Amino acid sequence: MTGSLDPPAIAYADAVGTLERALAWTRPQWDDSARPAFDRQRAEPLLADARRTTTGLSQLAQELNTAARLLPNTA
Amino acid sequence: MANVHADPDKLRQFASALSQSAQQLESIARQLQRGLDSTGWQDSERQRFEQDFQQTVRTLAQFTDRLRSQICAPAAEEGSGPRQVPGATAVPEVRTRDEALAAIDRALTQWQAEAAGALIQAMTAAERAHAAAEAETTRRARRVAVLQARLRELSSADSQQARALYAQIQRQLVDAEQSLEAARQATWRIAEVTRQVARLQRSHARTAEASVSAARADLASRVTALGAYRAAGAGTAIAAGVVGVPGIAGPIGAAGASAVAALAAAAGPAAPAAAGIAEWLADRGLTEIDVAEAGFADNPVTGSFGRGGLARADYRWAMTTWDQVIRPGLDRGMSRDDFAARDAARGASPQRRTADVYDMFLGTDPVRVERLADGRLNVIDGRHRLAVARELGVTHLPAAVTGL
Repeated sequence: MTGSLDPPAIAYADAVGTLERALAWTRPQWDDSARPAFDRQRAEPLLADARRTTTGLSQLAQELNTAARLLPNTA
Repeated sequence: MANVHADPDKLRQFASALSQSAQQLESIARQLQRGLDSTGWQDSERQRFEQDFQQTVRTLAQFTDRLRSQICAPAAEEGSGPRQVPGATAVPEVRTRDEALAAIDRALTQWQAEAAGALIQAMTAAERAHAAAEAETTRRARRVAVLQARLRELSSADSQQARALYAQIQRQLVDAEQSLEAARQATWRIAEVTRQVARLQRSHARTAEASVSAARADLASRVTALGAYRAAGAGTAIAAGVVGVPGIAGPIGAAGASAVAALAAAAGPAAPAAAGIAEWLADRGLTEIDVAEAGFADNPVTGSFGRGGLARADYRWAMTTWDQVIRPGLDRGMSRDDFAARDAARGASPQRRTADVYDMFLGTDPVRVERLADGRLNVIDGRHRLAVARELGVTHLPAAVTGL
């Protein structure tokens, strides 16, 4: 069956990982009193949403794979 | 964060190598997945293979993420010198607070685009899977209908052969109906997956756009605050004036803008132009020319922008650095050695060295123009520099002028 959600799920997770690394690796250079507020108010909620979407996409990818297994070779 | 007890320099070197290897592994995995997708292989063996493959990729990703978090991040936090853990290509060298702000801004923009792209890809894949499932369901329904019709035809026949055939088709019909039911179940589940992906996509679009906009606005206000602080401290608004803060990314790109801002701020206020600059240039066989006068319409800049792998962004950074750092520095009596020393102190990367910008305009390969008989300036060498100067509103550049 055509159409798998695994590649986009991996791509989304990669994008989130890249953002997380960028935020982590810039901390030594931007670590003044404004940084914690930015992390708490902006970065962390954004990452939390992104991680939820990552998990959701991964679960949907598994569900699609499971559903797709019902199709081939049973006709 | 776990403590790492090791020589920081060696740890950073190892972390750098490890991070690069992890990226290579991830890249190879993506290439293999694309290769697999392009084979058109579509049977149950492919599914089994792909499941094994995906599991391996996931395990590999977890492994590399764990290594990154346990080793690369602590290594990056060790010491305060120039960071030697470049990591992913999306996380370039970051040495100053300005560059950190610009790097975060860039990472947010990149994430927004990549995440949206992945979700579009997911939606497309889900819809394709749903269409395929519906088509398969329709095909199986037709088979059931055909078998039912055959049974109706045979129901009135009473020969032994007809009864045997009837029984055979009845068995086929049972299998076909089970197969149809399985296909309906699969189609229903895939339709539900498609709806969930659409919901995720909508939710992501709504929250990501708002979150990224708010985060970038925070970063921009931070840059503005830093610029104002510097302006107040140095008696000049050069940092804010040069780069602007339109979503941080200025006309020369975020990294270039922040780097130039940092340099300009560090250089302090520009002194009035020294009267001797024209003589100083003349001693080197150079004259400041009006960029608007230099014509190269008969040989426009096309295709690949620069030599030696330089991109337009590099030229724009160099031009802005010339205009805002080197040229004012010359007025203050700074020499090439001064710029080279500044680069060394900052650990400037090869394409962000002010000394190289100095050479680019004042070294052995300056802009060259020829004064024609009708007074026009014909460009012999330096079309890219002149084109970028026009783009950025730099009005004069040093050039070697030949001819009349």
